Amino acid sequence: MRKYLVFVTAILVSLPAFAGVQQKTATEDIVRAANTFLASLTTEQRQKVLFAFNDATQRARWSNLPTRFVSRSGISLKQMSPTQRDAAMKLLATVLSPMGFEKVKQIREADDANGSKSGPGGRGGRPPAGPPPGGQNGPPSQLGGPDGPGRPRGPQPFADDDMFGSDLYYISFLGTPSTMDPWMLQFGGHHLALNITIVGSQGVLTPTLTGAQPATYNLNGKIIRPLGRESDKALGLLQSLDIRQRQQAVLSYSVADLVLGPGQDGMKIVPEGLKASAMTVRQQAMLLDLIAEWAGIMNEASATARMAEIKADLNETWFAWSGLTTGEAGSNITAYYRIQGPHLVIEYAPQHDEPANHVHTMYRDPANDYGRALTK
Amino acid sequence: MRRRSATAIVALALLFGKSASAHRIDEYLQATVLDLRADRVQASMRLIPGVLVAPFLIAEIDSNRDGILSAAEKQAYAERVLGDLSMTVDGRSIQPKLISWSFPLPAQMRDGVGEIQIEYAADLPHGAPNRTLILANHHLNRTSVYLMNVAVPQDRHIRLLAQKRNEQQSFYELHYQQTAATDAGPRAAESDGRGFLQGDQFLSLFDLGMRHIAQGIDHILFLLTLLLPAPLLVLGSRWGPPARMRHCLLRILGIVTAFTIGHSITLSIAAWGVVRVPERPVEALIAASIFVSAAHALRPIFPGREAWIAGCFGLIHGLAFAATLARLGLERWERVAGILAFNLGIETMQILVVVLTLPSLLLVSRTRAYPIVRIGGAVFAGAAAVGWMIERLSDVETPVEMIVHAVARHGLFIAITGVLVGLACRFLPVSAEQATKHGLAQFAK
Repeated sequence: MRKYLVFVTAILVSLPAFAGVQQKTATEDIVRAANTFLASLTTEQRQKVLFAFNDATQRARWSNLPTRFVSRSGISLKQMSPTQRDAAMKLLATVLSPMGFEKVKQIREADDANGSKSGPGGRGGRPPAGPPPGGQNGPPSQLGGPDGPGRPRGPQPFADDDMFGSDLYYISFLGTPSTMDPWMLQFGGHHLALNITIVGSQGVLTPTLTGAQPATYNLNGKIIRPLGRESDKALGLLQSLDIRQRQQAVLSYSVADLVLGPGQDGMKIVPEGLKASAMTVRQQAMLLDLIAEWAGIMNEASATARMAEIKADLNETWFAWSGLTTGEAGSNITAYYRIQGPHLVIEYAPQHDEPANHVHTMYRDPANDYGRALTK
Repeated sequence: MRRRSATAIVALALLFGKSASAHRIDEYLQATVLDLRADRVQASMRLIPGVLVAPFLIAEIDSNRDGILSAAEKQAYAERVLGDLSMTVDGRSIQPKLISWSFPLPAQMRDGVGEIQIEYAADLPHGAPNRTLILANHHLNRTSVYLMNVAVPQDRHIRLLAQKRNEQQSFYELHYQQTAATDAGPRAAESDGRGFLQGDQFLSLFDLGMRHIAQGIDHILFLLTLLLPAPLLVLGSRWGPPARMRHCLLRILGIVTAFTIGHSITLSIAAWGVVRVPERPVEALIAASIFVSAAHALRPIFPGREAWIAGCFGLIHGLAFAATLARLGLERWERVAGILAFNLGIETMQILVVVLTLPSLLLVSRTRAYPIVRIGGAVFAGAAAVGWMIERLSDVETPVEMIVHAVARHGLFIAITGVLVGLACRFLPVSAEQATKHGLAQFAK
């Protein structure tokens, strides 16, 4: 009997240590993948992707808008050689979970679908991971010239190739990849802004923006909904609420857009809706499962730590809904919702032009956006 | 007008249908976040017109339809937005006052990605512990969608009870409780002594001061124009060869110090509310001061007395600074520290500008190219001053603001180029000394 107790205690004691080791190696893997990517770049390209860690302008240079309207820094997949693109994808696959990597891929592919929809003739069947249109985009010829990302986006012909596409996503670094010192990896473009801060064994994903238009599309005969689970799980949670709970959760007013979107760093608004402390255990589990759609974009070790933090705050976490309360899993909701806790803000905001098919979401930690709490 | 634009928007929206968009289309998003304090409420507004709304909005802002959003038109639009708000606390009407505003380029607005930002504040009179704040936004109601929120209060004596909104969020009601301790002073500042602002407030005023002079391009232009002939000696009724380095530095230091003393005096007086000067004449006088110093840079009008002139005109510039500070509506006892912070901000920025331009000024003044620089600079400043005077005295719009800002945006670049040119000139076959001698010989003729 005593033997068992000792055994169990030993396992319990060593669990956190294991977690620590796992994350330690996770950071090591990420740094290795980042350095492999950086080593694949030309000197000129490397200068373009590296920023100082305290570069506040670059840190906040992200948006939901296409890169033609709000230019990003760093270099885009389009400007990379196939080898460089592979290294960039390998880096993303190391930093993110398989689910997160897939989500990012689907958001980028939605941009292909979007471009083909508005472009004449349509380019629907184009394999998005393949070489970019125009084929040759070898780095040296592209980067020195006026075609760099910092070029003024003045009056130029309305070319769809320049507007939408799965290769118009930019990568940049703040600080240098390190297992000890803080650094940041940014990856984004239209409807995507990943701001990942790595501090030693910790990885922080906030603030991150995801979005999609079309939010449902057909690729190789399969229906893809990049943010479909965000819609289905939230609807499931709403429909599990009883009348009294629903009265609190459903707001009496419409919410036209993200309240804490790009540019709203550091803002803390007063939460509204239904407190998770008034939810049943099952509903709380559903809420956590919904939150995991954002927290789980990161690799397992970071996501686990983040979910533990959010779980500890659960009683102080709010769920608010605005819009139609009906719907069914499998098709996107047209309603807005917000989940807010001491260390969490999630917003899901369908866009007015095509509510079920165009959505922006925001994921923040008001106390730790850009890992601020860890790097002070 | 509004009805017409609404109809047109609907028509256009039908025309465009559900195209693959990337941005806001037929709505005007107005998002407000309130920051509630013990004795005042401050608000930041973001106004984002959709692509179909933008042309109409630009036409509304650009009241003279010249395609340029002038400073006056921007301010007038910001005032109009405030005029379309109604605010009450406990049933009593309160007046929002503009603090700051910024506008995107018309092209950005046409793309549906431009964001107008307006900050305003209103004083809250003392009242019972249970309070109700109501904000209604009537601005361009037909085409607008609204977001209204309140930031988590920093003051622990304020407890929010409930928020109510209409469906559109154009009407917002906030119920809150305020405990007595706040009467002693804003936030928990009592222990720090009453004469001082809290650190973050001090910093924000310092920052405002820095931004004010960085944006108040006319103040900088005045100072720089006055410095243009400072490194030179006077030869009869014209500008002659450069003076000795030590002499130059002393003179520049004198000018900057005098300007500082001048505007500090009037800023303090005006900020205390002792004198009230209407803004418009002050702005026109500032333009006049630039004109005078531009004329002086061409031909010496008041050689050797630059410091006095800088001090006198500093008095006028101080009045303009005070207008900004007055808009913040600080409590009387907060003002001492407020003026200090604001003034320190202005000083810091001013010194930065002088430090950045001084090397190129001193170097270039020792080359033959300097007359071109001096005369070119003076003509530019003079033209800008005339443009501003016209704009500020009559309601005629001139492109001066846009041009000057375009030049200022490349200020650092110009300063660095100046240094490089200066250095290059030094190492060219014709040495600086020779140039000086040459110049002297020319003047002696």
